[in-house]
Amino acid sequence: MEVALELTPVSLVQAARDGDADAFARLVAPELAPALGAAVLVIGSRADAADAVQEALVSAWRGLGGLREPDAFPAWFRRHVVRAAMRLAKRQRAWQPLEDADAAMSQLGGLESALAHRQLDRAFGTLTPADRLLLTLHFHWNQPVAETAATLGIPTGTVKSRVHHAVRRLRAAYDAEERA
Amino acid sequence: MNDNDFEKLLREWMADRTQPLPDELEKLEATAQRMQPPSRWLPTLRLTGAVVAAAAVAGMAIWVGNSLREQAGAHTPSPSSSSSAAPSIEPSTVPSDEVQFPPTADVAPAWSADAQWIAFERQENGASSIFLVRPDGTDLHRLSDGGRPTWSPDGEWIAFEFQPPGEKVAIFRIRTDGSELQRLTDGAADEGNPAWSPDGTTIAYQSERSCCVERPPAGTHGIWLMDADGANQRRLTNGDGGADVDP
Repeated sequence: MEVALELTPVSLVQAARDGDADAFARLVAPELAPALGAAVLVIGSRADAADAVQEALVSAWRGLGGLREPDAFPAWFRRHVVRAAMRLAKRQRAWQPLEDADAAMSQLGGLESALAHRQLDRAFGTLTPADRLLLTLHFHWNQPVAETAATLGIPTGTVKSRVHHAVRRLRAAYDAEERA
Repeated sequence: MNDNDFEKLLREWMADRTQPLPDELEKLEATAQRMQPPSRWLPTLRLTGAVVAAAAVAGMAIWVGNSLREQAGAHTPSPSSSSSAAPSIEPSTVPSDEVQFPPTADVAPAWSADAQWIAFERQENGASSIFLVRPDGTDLHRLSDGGRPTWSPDGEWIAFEFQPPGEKVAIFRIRTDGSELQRLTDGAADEGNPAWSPDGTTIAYQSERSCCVERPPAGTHGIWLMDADGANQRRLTNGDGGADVDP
């Protein structure tokens, strides 16, 4: 009689460590959309973002033995995603701006919103990868300050000020786009 | 537009920008499902017996690991073996064709500051890898390629040396949970044997960088220092015609 795999983080991580790819797929499934989204924001290219998440999947699979706390898998996997995304972002390929204004308009209800999004998209692309990452962790992943500090290896007390300055740089770039 | 409205716009744009395309997630899910076990996947060995405890306390855990793996190649563990002179071994459930016995050599053990882990270098088939193991022999797992592991005082990082194919030996560091692999030296010369300062801010290491114009251009080892993240690399000694090694 086949015994069903118990779907707890501990059992899934142990099964994945033992070579069970299905268990690994179950572990990462809820993380793929946020991972891909973050990579898109940091890198600016959908193709490269997919590559970054693929790279994170491979490095996480290989590094599972180093995961001490199975319950910490989501945060641990996200660090692999961050590392891979930053590595590809530093290749300095051009930021690929948001092209599909029609989709933006249909979702956002109007030309003005679509234009604001396109301006913000171009402005975001002028930021450094480090700024893009910081804003992604804070505003897209909504990470607590302590977790962002741990992800970036910076003191907790500096996260808010860094976010503040990154937002100011983004705002200045957005205002410049508006004037152009 | 005030700051709150701008942040609201930012969040909306991020949500819009990150909508996955129809087949993107399916491709990533398929990637995860097709993962193959690494060719040198190791089981978790549970070592029992008084010999292991004594050897671990004496810092000889690596010696114990080698000898027991050699025994494991010819030993079938059984419930009644616990009273025998040799420690019993209980391999975890891993397909037998995945087990690699015996390793060539386990060397360079290093205790974490909290004594919860031992890092060591496993040399096998001409390649070196860094492994972690508990002092009682449990939770053995591979951390990275490389050798000569050394723990940061806070237990968060392991610095080590590794020679990428076609390059010089360089110093890397990796978080002990396997994330954030970082290269610290640039490979201009062979550099290795990292040693952390007690406060964790500085790494001393040996380098074959030529120290100055009048010295021989290669082969002279000196001791260098760098910040724990690889920044601010500076020479401390120049070997003075010999070799300064093992900081």
